[in-house]
Amino acid sequence: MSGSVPTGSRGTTVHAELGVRRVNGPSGPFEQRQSARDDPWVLVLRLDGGGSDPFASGVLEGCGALLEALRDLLAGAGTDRLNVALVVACPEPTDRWTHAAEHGTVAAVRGAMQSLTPELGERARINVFVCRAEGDDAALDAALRFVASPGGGYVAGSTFDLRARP
Amino acid sequence: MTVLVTGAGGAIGSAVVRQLAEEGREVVAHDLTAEALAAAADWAAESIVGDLTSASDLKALRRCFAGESLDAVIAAHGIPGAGALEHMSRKRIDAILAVNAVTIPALLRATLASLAADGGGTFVAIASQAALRGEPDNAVYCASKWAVTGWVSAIAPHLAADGVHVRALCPGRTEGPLLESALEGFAAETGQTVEEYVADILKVIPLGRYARVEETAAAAVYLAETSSARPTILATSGGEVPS
Repeated sequence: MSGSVPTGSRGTTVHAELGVRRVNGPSGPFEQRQSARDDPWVLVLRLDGGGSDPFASGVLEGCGALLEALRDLLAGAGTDRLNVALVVACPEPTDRWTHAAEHGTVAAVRGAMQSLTPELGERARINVFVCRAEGDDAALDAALRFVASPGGGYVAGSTFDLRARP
Repeated sequence: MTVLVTGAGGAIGSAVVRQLAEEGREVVAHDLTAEALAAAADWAAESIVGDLTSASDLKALRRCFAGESLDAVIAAHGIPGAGALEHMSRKRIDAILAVNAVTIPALLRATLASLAADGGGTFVAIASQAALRGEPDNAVYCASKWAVTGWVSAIAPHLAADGVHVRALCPGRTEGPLLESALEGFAAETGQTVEEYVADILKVIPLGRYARVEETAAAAVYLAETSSARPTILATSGGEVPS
């Protein structure tokens, strides 16, 4: 995506506005968007699957940066309650090492989230969404909309693994 | 049988070294400093000092075993990581993830050729019960340990075809310096004294006590065997967090 993020109402246009559909953003593993004050913060970790050590790339650089961003988000929120969507966008694995690195990275993000959910209590609601980088955008869109909907709040702390085809 | 044990100077690592040596195995002990290795000196056939987060030290480790067969690697190294995320610096986050998680696949890849030689071998990563559940005020440590078991679960079927069995042990609270450090961190976060925190913790462990290091070491040695099938992920937690 390019350009500024348009503002909009919560729910119906969260996914499209936040540009998760096409993650072709700035350099670095992250994109961080919020369109309206009550919309969920969407932190997108894009795994590149490449390099000599995909596990280090995903866990240390990627998950490490994700946790730092989340920490800063919490620090800036004050007493406001946060809704956070952690999206991990994974390329198709090319070999057993990238396959295992992907699983390790996703597990790391999930483990952090499952710890932060009781740690933060009512201060923040966090969910993890795992998808293919060039995958089913409709599935990610539907999941983000569901969590942002009035009936979707109680899934706090859960992971939406959207990598499998229906 | 030749076994490489990393973190050999730690409570669990040195207990693993001792048990293997008492069973007649040849043990190569590895740790960050020579001082740390002193704890395992009486039982190790050989000692290697090295930093598993260092690419050059990993290359040196690979060269140590080049052309030789390793029956097992037991990765018992690790650092504590308790603390609320809001109080964690990026430097601290990176250290926990690097030491506890990134070194595991790196160590396997450095020793894979030796493990695969002579019919195969076993790689046992000592993770934690924190790899099996979320724990408040322990998010980064959990992330590091979940990364290990996630990776082990995924790589194990691939490498089994090559005769290398990859497994993870998830110990619960085991007596030793790592637990003491973690207890201090947790107590600080909850505003309790360590004694108060410990009293609460013992109530949630069904066996009502911490693990003895010998028990955790025995579980690691059990997983390192190749004579028959073993679980890929095994918890030893006194029932607190079963696998």
